[in-house]
Amino acid sequence: MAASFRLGGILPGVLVSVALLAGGARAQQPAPPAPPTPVPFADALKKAADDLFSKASVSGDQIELVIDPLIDAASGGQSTATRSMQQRLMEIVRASYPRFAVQPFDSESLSRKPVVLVGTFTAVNNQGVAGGPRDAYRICLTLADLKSNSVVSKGVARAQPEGVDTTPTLYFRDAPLWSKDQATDAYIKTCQGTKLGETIDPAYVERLTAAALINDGILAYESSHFREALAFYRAARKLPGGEQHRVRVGTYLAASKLGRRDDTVDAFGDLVDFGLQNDQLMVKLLFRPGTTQFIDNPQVTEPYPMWLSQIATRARQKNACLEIVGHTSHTGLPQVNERLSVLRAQFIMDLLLTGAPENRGRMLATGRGFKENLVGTGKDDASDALDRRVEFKVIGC
Amino acid sequence: MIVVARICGLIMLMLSSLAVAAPAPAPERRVALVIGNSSYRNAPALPNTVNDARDMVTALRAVGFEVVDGTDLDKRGMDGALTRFARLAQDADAAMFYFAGHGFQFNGENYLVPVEARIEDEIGVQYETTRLADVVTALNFAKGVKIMVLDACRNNPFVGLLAKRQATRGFAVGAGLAPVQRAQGMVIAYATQANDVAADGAGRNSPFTRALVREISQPGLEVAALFRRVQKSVYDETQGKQTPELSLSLLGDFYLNREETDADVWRRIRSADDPAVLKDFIQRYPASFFAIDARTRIDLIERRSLELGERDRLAREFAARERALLERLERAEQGRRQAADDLARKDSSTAAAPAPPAPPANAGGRAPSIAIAPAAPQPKPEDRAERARLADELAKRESELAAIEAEKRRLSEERRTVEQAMAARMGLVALPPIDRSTVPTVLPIEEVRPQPEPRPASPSAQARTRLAAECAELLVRAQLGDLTAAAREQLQHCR
Repeated sequence: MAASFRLGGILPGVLVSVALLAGGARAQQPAPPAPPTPVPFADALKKAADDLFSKASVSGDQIELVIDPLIDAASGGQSTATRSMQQRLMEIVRASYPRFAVQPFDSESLSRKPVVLVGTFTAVNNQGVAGGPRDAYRICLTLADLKSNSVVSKGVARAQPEGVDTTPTLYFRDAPLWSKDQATDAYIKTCQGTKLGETIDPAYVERLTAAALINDGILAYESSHFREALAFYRAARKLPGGEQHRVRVGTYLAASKLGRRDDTVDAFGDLVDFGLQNDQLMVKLLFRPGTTQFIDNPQVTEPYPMWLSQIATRARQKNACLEIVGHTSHTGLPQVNERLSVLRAQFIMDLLLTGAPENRGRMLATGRGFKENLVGTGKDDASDALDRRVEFKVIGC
Repeated sequence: MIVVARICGLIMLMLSSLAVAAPAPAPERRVALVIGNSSYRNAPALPNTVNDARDMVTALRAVGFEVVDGTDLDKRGMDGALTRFARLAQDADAAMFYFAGHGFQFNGENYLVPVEARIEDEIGVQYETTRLADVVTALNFAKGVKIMVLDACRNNPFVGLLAKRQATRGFAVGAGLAPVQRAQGMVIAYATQANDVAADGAGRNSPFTRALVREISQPGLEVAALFRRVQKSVYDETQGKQTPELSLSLLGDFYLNREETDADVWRRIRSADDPAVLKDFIQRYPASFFAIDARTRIDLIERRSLELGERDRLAREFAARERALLERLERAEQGRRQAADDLARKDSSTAAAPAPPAPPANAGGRAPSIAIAPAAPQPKPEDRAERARLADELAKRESELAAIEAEKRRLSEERRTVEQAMAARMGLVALPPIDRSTVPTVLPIEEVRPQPEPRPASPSAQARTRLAAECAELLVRAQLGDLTAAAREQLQHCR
């Protein structure tokens, strides 16, 4: 399935060049605050985990540990890689750190105020060059002790990209759009933006219980229990901090799998409304490589008209003017990609205007090529579908 | 089968120097003078002219003319009739003159011949006949349409005599009527072409008058069209020997017969749903081309009302089933919600209960106090059991819901099939789609399902935006070339 998602740029020859670049980077390795040398993925994870657990400043011989699923910090999503990291971490704990007892991530465990492990996995440019190719993964692990309400340990490492499977898990692959989400931001901040001994971001703590339910929902969805997934989301919605992007996305996905057409439309409308409120809406409209045509997979493109009509009508309702921004993934020549991204945005705008002609004059189409990649790995598969998104920005009329 | 030639030299003149009345709705005053001279003493008798005149009188009265008539009139009689007619014609909305009998032209002027006239010389022409010019004068008293019909231009029995007598004086005598000069706002129609003769006819009427009477009885024929039809039927009937001549210069439309035509009526009532109206139509225009359509439509309506009755019954039946289903669905949904709530409450309370020492309180006293973990060994076993029970309950409710939903889908499927079959049976697309609002029992179940919380906007506005969104979606689909047949039909409604 992943293969069908390679659409963004033009040639998938990038992997080779990325590897070369990475090699080159390693060879140079000059600067003083020398970035850690990326090591193979397994070693990197082991190192980070060892740092994390051996130096944890918590006392007691029986410490309850729950793992709030690791995410890709660029997309906020989980992937095969983050899942396997979780698995590996549990094995490491069991084998080497018996002091910690891994508990399920649910409200009951949380009520006992355990230590929470959060972790991010981010594609970066190892030299820290802004906009440079992402040639390494940064692993960041953090232990947050709910009792002391502080960060009690950290472990970081950099991994080489080889052998890392960043294919998003079902839920994240199916998610129709991406939008800034405070819950995810708080998670990332807890992991990456909080130093040892500092207080945990309250925005993260207060959403934890809901997050547990949401995670249940995601897992239910991924095991095709859509009804149960819906029930979890509904339950989450009732909790403080339950109004989350992931709940809305999950509701949409489950409703759509259940074939509840009206609910699906409403849920998507909710997503659009929320995105418009935040002035930004990033939708995964997938194109055939190098063209302005949607990909040849009816299953994927089937809801596109509904999405577009919702975007058009909701924007109209809000009297919002939109800038439609095309993006491509990091493959091929910049100029070609830029032109292509504009053409794609133009194509989308034409479709929006077909559906809602009264929006004429309230939209403009631009393209950024791959300048604003979120993932930036140039893998051209499902893992960087977000880089081939079409973005709708609310602009002044 | 006597074929007597009516002596002629006459014309049909329709003068109308004034503006022409439109098919006036107001009480319109229409007057006519109809003369039929038959028993000529000094010329061949014309057996049909009296019939012609009588039939014409009947026809004109039927369409609202006040008629001065006379048959077999002598010079005095004709003058008297003309005088009465002239009086009546003053300010009339339409004035018509009809003459069947002998007429001729002499020296470029047209004369009508009374029954007793002896026309042996120029003096006879001048004093024993009625000048057509006088008739025109009388017609001109009317303010509206002027019509002159002369079924008279048959051969001139006096021509030989007059020509012999007058030849030396340089008089010209024609066999038929002289063409009347065309004038603005005038319609001229001859029973035959100028200088030709017209047949008196083998039956009761002359071919010309028979056609004219028939056409006048047809409602809704504009006068020009009417005379053109007369022209054609005379031509056909005489195998092309006689062609009435027509000179029309009316500025507007004029209808001799202002009644609605069957076509008019049909246009008005053809989509009527009341069989009584259609039956009336058939009764009124039994020969109408549209009577068949009317009958078809009556059939259709009757069949449809039968079907509709059945459809209503089915709709009600389905509605009842749907309502029952809906109730079950709601109950199940409630149960499920209850279970979900319980679960959520349970989760949040267990989470919240020992949670209160939140960041602010704790921030200062982030002490080493957290030595040994548990301390408060919560009532876990029962809790866990309860949670399991709740989760179980939730799962059960969910599967119940699933079953109901499946049933609902099956029901609506069934209904769709039945409706389609019914529509096919009736073979009509024109049938108004069952109006759900009049069948309040049919609840749009989808709408009723507890919705994701925040629902702004009034229901109608919501429905409208939903419709707009749907149409927008269809348009986009159309643009992408991704339209199913059903969607295409739906798109029609959007437009």
